[in-house]
Amino acid sequence: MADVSDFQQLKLDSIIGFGGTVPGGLIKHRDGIHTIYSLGSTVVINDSRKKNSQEFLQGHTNVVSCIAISKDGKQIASGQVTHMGFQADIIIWDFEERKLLRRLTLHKVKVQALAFSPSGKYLASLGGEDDNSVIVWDLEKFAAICGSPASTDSSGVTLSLTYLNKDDHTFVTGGFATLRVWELNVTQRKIRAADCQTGQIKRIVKCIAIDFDDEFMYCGTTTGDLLQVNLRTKLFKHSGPPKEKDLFSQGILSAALSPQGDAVIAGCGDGTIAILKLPKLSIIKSTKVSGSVTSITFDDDKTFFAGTAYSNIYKISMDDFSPSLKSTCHYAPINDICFPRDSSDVFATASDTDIRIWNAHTSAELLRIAVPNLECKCITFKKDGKSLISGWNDGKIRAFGPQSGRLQYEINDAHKRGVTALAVTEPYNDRGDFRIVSGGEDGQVRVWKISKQVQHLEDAMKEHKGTVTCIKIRKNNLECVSSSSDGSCIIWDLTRYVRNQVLFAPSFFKAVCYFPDESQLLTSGTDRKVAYWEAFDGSLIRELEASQSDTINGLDITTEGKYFVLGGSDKLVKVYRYEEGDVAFVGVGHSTDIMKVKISPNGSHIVSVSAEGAIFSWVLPKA
Amino acid sequence: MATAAAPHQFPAAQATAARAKGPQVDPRTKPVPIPGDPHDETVYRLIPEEYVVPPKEQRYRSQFADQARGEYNSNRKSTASMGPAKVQVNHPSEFLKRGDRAKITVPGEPALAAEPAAIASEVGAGDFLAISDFASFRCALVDKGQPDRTVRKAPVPKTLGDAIQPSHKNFIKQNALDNINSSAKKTQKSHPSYLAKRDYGRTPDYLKRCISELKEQEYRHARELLEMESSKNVHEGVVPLPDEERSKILNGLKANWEKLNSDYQRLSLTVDTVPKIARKVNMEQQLKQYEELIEKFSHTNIHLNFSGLFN
Repeated sequence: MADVSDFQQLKLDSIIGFGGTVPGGLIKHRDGIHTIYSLGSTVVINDSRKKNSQEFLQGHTNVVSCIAISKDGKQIASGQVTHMGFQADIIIWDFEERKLLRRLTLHKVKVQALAFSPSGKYLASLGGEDDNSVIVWDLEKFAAICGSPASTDSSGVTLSLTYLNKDDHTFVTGGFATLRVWELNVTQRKIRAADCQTGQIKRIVKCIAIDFDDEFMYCGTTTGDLLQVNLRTKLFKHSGPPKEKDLFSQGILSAALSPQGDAVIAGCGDGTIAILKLPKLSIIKSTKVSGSVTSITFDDDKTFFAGTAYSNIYKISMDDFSPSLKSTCHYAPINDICFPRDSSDVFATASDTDIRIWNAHTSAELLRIAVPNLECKCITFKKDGKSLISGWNDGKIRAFGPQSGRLQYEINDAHKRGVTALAVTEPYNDRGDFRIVSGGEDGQVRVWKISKQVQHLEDAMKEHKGTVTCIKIRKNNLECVSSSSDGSCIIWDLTRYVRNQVLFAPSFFKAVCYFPDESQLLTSGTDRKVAYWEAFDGSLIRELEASQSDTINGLDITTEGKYFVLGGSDKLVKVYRYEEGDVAFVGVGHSTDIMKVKISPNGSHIVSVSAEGAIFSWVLPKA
Repeated sequence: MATAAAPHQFPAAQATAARAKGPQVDPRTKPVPIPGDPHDETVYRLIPEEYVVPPKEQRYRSQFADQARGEYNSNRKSTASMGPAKVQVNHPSEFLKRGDRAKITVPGEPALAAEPAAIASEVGAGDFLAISDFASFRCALVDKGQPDRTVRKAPVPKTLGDAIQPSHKNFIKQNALDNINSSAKKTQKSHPSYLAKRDYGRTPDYLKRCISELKEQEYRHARELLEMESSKNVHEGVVPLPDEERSKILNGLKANWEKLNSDYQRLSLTVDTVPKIARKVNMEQQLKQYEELIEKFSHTNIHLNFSGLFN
């Protein structure tokens, strides 16, 4: 098959996404304009001057685990995770040119942390638990200078790595009961470690900040205190906050020195951000945000950004210390996406943690609905847009008011195990009563009669043997098609509630849709093929091998039927011509499995959602 | 806070919703009011309306602004614009005393008229006062809250005028008499009694006439059609089967069927050999055929087509 670059690329309009779990993963560039963060396996450079102007550094084969930027801001280094037994890459990127400079491959399985030397001549990298090595790289020759086991056998895993601010030859590492200062000798190609003496105190160090004079380092621990250690004598000096009751719960995950150098800002696992005033490390200000604070980066002397594991970015001013939310996105896999009928202005996404409604033009979050400890598997809007209907893994169907997110009604025990597919009909009387066709993990397709006060089961159609993955209803509301992971698609009669046709394929069907005139059906599934079927008699018309490697999860067709869009585990969004059956456009950008794709009702955009929680909006070119 | 929903623990299965605010909400947007009933909400009203700030009207500027500004800047006090009072004022020792007010009269009124000059002299200096000045002067003399006593009302009329003579009419008696003498009020005319009509409750004659005419017409029409049909049928070689002939055929068929059926009933119970099977099947077929024919000839209206015979 031809390479991806041979096809016309889809233009990316905007992205809603931020990988918040990477420690120190949110970095403000020193030019004050750009923000650097990771999203799945992509490194994103965001320009704060313009809306929706992200640039992507793509090259990693798996999720990015750490990012670092050199002091002069010219180079970015990022490390990744890979499968057990394989080598994980470090990639050095040129910031100005936005291109890959070199891959450095020595670590196994995971790169835990990266740090540039102050002059930018060296890069220190720390491997993960299975690698347990520290390597120093020469960035002029892009070659490793030397390496060493990160910790002794008696102590545990090393988790963090930081370079000193002025010394090109000294860096520190910290981890499970280990805190070491490393001296680099370039001529001898050796690094020597000196353990810091902390006496009785045994801590797990998650992050290290070093003051501007390289005098002390401040180590954030899982215990929730900050250790002050003298770098010259390598002796523990002090720990704070002074009172034991003030220790931060769930530990300190990120720390940064204030620009004045008189305080340490600590971001904690429970979402607390606090200023610990030197020299006593007493808490002078503190605030709380949503999600554990994994990165703190200063914008200017007075404000800093905090990134949290719930993929929120907050801007906090040092004066009033009140957080203002700058951006937010999903942080769990997105299961479904839907547009209201005839409106491309808003769309709703359902992830494992919550349902959100977004403004399609500004990428602003308009509404969030969360039901604790439950996962939403599918959503759809009622035809008149007055209700957001969702299927959950506790087997309930819940309907919410789309403006306030209040619960309108819920149908208990709609399906055994979970509800996985939903579709709604037009209202059948003047009171606006309508039907919901739902599919579940139990393989049943059920029809519900919904009125304002009461919802009851009309009929249950039990033919599928596996999870129902997708349901589509004809425009006349008399027939629907359901796809299932048992390898069959069934066309149902919605007046007699019996099977009209059945389509078989050696595949777990993932999606099905009608051609606009409803004479043909399109299906996709794990057999990597898109199949055209006759809707009348269920005969196979045509099969396209739409992906070389992976499942096709999402499928949608334009309103006039000229194009259809696919998205799958091969991480590509592909636009096919329906008649010709060939690729028209390809969208590259996702770094994990694409879960669903949808074309906006006005046909101008394609929205694709993926397992890392990112929402990509692509421009669909006019024919 | 925008993310109130996220980290806290909520009672199970109780949905929490947060209207997102903070990150990208434009300050120039109007929040959309949320209806009281969740069923009335609609997604199409979710996006806050763009609030266009109405253009400000031009600031009011008086047409005298420049003049006023000039006057203000000319260092003259606003109260000083009139200049000093152009009246000779009393000497402090000659303040108004009791009864002085009565001496002041309105010029032109004869009764208490006094020469303005006299008043002026009485007031003080004895200088001549212009009439116009006098008016303003008089106003100055009268207290603000008091009625202006200097203005005289019209005098009380001297004569009493003509009094109206009382009426001697006895209205009560007159009314009683009127009522007694008047004839009784006529009651309203009753409606015509339809019950008394001759053909009440029966179908009107004209309708009967119409119905019979219609029936006759219909009958005639049907007969014409039938005639036309038969003539056409004859023409095309289609002839109706006479009833007696039909019954004859039907009876014959029935008789045949009876006979065959009785034979069939008498067949042996064990149908084992090939000729026996063949015989049974054959008889069944024939019976079926007879039944079909009987069914066919049971219809009363049968037409025979001879057209095939002639060509």
